[in-house]
Amino acid sequence: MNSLLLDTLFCGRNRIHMTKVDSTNTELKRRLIDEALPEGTTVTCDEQEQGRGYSGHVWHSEPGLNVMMSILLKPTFLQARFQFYLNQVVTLGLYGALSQYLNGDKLRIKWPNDLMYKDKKICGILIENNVQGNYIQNSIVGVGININERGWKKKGLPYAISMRQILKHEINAEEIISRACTYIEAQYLMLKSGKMEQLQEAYMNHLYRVEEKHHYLIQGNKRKAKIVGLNPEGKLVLESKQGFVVCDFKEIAYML
Amino acid sequence: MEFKEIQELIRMVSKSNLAEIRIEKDSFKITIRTRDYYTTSARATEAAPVTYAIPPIQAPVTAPVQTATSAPVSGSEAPKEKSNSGNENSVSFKSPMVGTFYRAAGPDKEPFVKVGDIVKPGTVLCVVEAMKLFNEIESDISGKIVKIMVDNAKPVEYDQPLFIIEPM
Repeated sequence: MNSLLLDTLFCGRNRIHMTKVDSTNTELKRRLIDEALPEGTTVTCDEQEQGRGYSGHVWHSEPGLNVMMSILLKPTFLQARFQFYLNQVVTLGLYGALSQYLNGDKLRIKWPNDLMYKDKKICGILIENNVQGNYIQNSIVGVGININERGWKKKGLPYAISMRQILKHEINAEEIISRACTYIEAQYLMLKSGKMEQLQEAYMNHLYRVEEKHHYLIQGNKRKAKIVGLNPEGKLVLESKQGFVVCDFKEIAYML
Repeated sequence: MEFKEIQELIRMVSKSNLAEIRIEKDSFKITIRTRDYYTTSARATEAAPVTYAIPPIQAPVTAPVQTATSAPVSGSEAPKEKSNSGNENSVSFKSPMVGTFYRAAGPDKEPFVKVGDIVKPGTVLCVVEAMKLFNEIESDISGKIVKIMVDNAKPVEYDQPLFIIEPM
């Protein structure tokens, strides 16, 4: 990566760039089968044809409009059941990278792992792990950041926003990639050195709609509730009139 | 049922020797399961001898309202114990985490493994997904799949048996 902004020990040092690929996560997985890749190996592309979001939502991206990258981490020290920390590491890393450009108060982490600018999504993450025994072997961290899109309304994505729409100028993808690698690595090294409490605290500080009353669909029912914290597995804890509720991702929908 | 009453119920069940309690009244339904449910439940025909220490975790609870007080537990290597399904050498392969169990990589995909399949360390057995983290769970032993303990797309708890494997 020929960027002076890349200030890392391993993230992005081994860089594989594709002009066109089905998805950067899939490409990294394929390569892992054939060869031993060092931690921090990063696959990027100009054009992604079958980028995947949650539950198979396909996310097509045209050249230069978005950053699509997948980073290989090897958190073999992390027990699988505490893997929510990976969501925290990656979202906090991206928060750090993007707040170099955007107002940090308007940028928030939406549980479990999206980045929002005000009420619109600017960045999405898909993490895929291999688990053997109780421990994670490889973690493929897929990141998509909206940088130069001019708008989505016609494509049915009213809740998305790009950096260009906010900053009113063209964004250099290479610069964002370098910063993302740098900040994600810093958070990852914190996790590795056992600073879980700091991660947890920072995550809560930047959490979208924390301690605010909003309507949610909780287990199918519309309820007014307040996000108050996370349980040790990373489930969302909300407080409503009926008491505390703990939600997995499938049990709650935000009403935007 | 009031939140306080549910809390009281959970406390009571945790202290008892019960594995599971279900209460249904009008439109309200609650199921509380303790650690015992997953180690000695009716799924295994008889309680199997436990060969590894099971970490002390607070009782997992499945209910419309849940407590948020379970504490993180220090790690232990305890994914296997002897099982009575299959022959006496069979081991149960347990979930390393809480999440949703998937037998295939997608709804239109072939399952990773079927009963009778031979697996080895590194063979992907299933996917467990939790909070947008997708985990391919690999076998750490060589053997034959004797039984699949959980239906596709069902929630699983930490340490819940997923497969019965006959080591080879």
